[in-house]
Amino acid sequence: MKCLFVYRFLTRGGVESVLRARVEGLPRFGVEARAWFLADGEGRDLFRGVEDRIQVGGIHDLQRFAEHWQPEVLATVDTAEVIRPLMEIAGSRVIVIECHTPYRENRLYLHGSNGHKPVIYFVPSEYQKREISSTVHTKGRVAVIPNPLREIFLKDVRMEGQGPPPIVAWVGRLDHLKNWAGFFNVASKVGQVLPDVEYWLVGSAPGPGIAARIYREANARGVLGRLRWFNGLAQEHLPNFLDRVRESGGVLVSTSRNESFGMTVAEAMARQCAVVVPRSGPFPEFVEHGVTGLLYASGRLREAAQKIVKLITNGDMRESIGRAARTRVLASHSPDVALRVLADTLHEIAFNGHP
Amino acid sequence: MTQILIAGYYGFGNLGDEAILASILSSLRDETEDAVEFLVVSGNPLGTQAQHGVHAISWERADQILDGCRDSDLLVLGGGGLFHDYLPEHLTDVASFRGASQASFAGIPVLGRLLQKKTMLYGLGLGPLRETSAAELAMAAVQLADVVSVRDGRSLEHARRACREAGLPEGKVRLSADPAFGLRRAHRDDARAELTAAGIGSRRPILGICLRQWQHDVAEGWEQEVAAGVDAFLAETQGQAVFIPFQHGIDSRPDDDLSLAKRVRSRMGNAEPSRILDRNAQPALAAALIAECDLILGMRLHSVIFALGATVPCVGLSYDPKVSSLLERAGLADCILPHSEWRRDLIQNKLNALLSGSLPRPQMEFANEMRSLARQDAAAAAELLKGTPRPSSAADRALEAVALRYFDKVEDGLESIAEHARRLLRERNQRERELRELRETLGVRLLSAYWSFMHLLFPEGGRGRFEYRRGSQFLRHLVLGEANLRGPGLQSHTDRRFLLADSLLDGVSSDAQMELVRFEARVRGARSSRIVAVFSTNQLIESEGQRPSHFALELARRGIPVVFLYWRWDRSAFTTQERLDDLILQIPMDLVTGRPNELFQAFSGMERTVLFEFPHPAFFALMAVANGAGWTTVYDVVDDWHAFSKQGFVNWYQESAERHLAWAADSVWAVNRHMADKIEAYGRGGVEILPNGCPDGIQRIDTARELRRGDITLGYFGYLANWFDWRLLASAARSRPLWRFYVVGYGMNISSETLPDNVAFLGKQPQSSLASLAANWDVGIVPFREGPIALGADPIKTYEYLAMGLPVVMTGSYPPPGSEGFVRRARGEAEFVRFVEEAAREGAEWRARRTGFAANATWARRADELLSILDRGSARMIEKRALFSDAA
Repeated sequence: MKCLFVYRFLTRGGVESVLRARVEGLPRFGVEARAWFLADGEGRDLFRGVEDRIQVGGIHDLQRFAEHWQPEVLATVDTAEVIRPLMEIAGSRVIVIECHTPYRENRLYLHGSNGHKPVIYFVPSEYQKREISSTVHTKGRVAVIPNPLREIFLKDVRMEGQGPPPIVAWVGRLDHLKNWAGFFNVASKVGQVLPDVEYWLVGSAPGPGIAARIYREANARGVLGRLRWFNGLAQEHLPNFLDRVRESGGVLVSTSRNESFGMTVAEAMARQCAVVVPRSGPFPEFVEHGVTGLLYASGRLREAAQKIVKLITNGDMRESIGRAARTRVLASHSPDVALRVLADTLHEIAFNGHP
Repeated sequence: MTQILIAGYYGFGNLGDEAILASILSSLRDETEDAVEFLVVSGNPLGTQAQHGVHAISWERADQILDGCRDSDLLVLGGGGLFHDYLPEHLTDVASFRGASQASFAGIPVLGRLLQKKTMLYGLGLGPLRETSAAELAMAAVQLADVVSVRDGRSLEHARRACREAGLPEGKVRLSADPAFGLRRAHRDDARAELTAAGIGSRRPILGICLRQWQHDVAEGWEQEVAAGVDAFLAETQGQAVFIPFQHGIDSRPDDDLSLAKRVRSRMGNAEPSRILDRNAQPALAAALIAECDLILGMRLHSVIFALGATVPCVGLSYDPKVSSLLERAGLADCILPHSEWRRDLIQNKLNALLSGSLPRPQMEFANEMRSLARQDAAAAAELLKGTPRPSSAADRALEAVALRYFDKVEDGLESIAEHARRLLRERNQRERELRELRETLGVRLLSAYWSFMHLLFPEGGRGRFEYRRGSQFLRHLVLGEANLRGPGLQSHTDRRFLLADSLLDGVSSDAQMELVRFEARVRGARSSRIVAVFSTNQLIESEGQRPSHFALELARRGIPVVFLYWRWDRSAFTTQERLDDLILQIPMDLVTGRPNELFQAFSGMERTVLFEFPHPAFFALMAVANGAGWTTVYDVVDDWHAFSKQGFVNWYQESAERHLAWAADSVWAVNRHMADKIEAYGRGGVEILPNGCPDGIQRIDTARELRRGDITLGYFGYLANWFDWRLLASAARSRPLWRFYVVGYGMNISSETLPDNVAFLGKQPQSSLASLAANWDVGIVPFREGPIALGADPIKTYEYLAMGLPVVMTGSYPPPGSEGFVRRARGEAEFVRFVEEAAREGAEWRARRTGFAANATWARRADELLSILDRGSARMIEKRALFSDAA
């Protein structure tokens, strides 16, 4: 069978990573997959080796391609503007709307989709399913499809790093929802107990002016002199970064206010990195407190700092949590597992019209 | 003085060609007893100058090539395989000089004929020449030259045929040898040290492997076959292998040997007994390395030449007839593996047979014969140089006149284009000002507010948004008459308009981007493997050379391209790009601070380093992007900026920004111990001391200048600011009325009336005249006020005084490390006066010590130290390399 995924931008974001894994891996499960992007960004290199399975073009060209290629399933990933054009040409084919965005304002389009032809929704977590179910009023037609990790996060973990100073890392988009400012708050509290810790901020600024705000916030929190910010890091280097964090005896912390899945946390876990994450959103689905990570009450950043200190100062606990985290996350999000779930669902949709 | 112009494929990082040039120069120097100057046409003039100690000009500068030919007594083209079918060009492009190409190579004998210069084709390889276009260029070159020497039989046939077709005597063509046979090898101890450093132990045999990238006529999996063959050989013999790359370029470029070696090694089942020499070896060292091996698997022609020269057994992977032709000539036809036989078993068998002695070994007689032939080429060139000038007919003179008129016109055209570029630059400055004003207009702000409102009203994906789109398209159709409401025409038209608006709003930055893009192409064309970006407080003005300028110039002299980002006070000020040929791009840093990706995402695959020469808070964002893109980041601490800010200077300074810069940089350098201690107090350890220096030749006196002298004559030159201790100077002058003080400098308005009679203020003087002024002095002084500014400084003038042979007395600052014997640091006026008296009494033998110290503290030496620090790598730099390694 064939499936066409449509996304707005071809950049180096998390959705593109997921699509890369899909167009590469789905054929192993009998699904020929293509990805279509409406606008070209700087993400083409993310698809190195499978360039022939992606296309960039406008909506009109997309319609023509879909009519010509005849996929059984048409799937859009948070790309509202293509829903109606795809429905115009869908005929008997199934439309899947994938909702990965954690931003409520970006999910408003789901209201718009209610009046259209019946569709099926894919989400990456149970939490996201709950989040959108109230919006789309289509209970029973929302399927949880686990995000696949990229192969680069699966390579063997070797313990041969440089050691301290311990690094506390934060990875993600530098915006309000992901709450980068909370990271500095946490860092300042960790620094009061462990002054030698180094802080890594790994993330891209979504717009101008953010650098000045980061500077001000880090300065105000007294962590500027121990901070390294890696802006615009290409994802292929992230496993090395996470390895270094682990080898330093450090941890990855999330201060996110909301996530649909928490990919960066899962990637850190795959690299056997101990994580400290909020007890909210999708995290409790794959982070078991004290076993595969430490949870803190959402918004309680002092508690987050205490958990970080606990992990840094207790090497045995940190390492055992890291090992369990890798096992846990690979069991559900390694490409083979996650893609099999997706492929099975797609086959059912194509056959039955619903999962 | 007699001059020989030598043109070839030089300056492109190809070790074989550099070996040819080194050998030609050495042989010609021997033959002409050093009475000749050489001018080399190169792809990287600065690199060629540094490597071979000759003057060099660029293949892209037609005007310089013409001047070079006109000023030379002999034109030499070659050696090496300059004419072949792989990159064919047309005869009509001859002498266009747009880079090192076959049309450019053939242009040298053409100019030789037009300018009545004697021309020699030297140790050339011709072919394969099945294509008419390449063959025509080669034929023209042969026919126009006075003497032709070729390195192999196939080339001899081509050259003789060219002569026959033009009715010329074939006697001017001789069969010779590749000039690289004449190369003198480096000492074997150097080669052994290099192998040891690479991890090659004493276990034998050692197999040297020299591969090149190649796709023509070869099976796709040949790299895998070589890897497997070597693998099996090493497993059987328990030996070691060393990959010796001959062409260093950018990883993944088609001509880069290093990336090929990495690829082949990665495909070996057991790569452990093998190593790659990833350093760019000089030809003499590469030859010595090959001599240290027990056998060679050579694809590169010059690896085979070096093996034959050192009688090291070798198997030639013959990708081109020139490799098999050479081995056949050496009587080693059995050692050839044609590309149809590049299979793992055959490679292993050949190597085993070579090791066991069942295949013939290279003979010293052959090597000697080749060296003798190569030397004869140099003798022939010297003979040509000494011989009577070419008889010049009226027709020849007429041709020459036409050629010169043509080239003069070209030069006029170039000058006119340069003037036009300068005018455009001024206009651009004006447009930039207008653009800034436009951005502030009410209209643009209102438009922005309108779009925000529309997004709020009709959220993306909702039915309202959909209907709005339809409605607006319909209206556009009515108003603008656009036909297809949903088709690609409308969409692309709309896109175009937004693109246009975007480009307008980004106007100036786009220019910086374009300059970067063009520069990157130029850098990649020059096969540079390293790039350095420097964020400097000053523009790049050599005569007012501050540390960043000197670093930039010295790095460029070593063939390392530099992006020089300078601070400007006036945003309409641009520097013209007059140093692009030196591989230096100059950009105002404010054009980059807003869009750092344009700089830091460029030059990928190269070793990239950025130096921050001052701790501006705006560098916080730049540092983040540089670190995210994998650049090696360096904070170079040249002054105590904190102290400056306390004195009311550098009002941008924030201590927290400097702390961050020091922490986030991969390496921190300081000009002296005092500043290193200060930065280390921030918690950043491992600060390297990299003192200031002085320019080469600062002590040269162009025109002698007499100054009135006193019992003791003292002098100061340099910037004058409130840290200059006028009080001490005036007081000392009054207490020693028979001494004579000279102050040369700028930065303050000084009235001579306020100074004692024996103090003369000479104002600002050109740097070229400083030595002539200082020649009248007995002592150089640095009278700085005690305080953190002086303590943080490493005054450049101290080094310059020493280079001029003067003893130095300073206050406030510390002497450079190691100079304490002849640089005195005084505390207070009494000590200052006493130290000046002592210094003035120092004997002549001290002068040599001072100049000797300065000779080891030139900017050239500092650049060497800089590169050494980068190569050595701090813990952070090692960490950075690991973070951005390909392991993932």
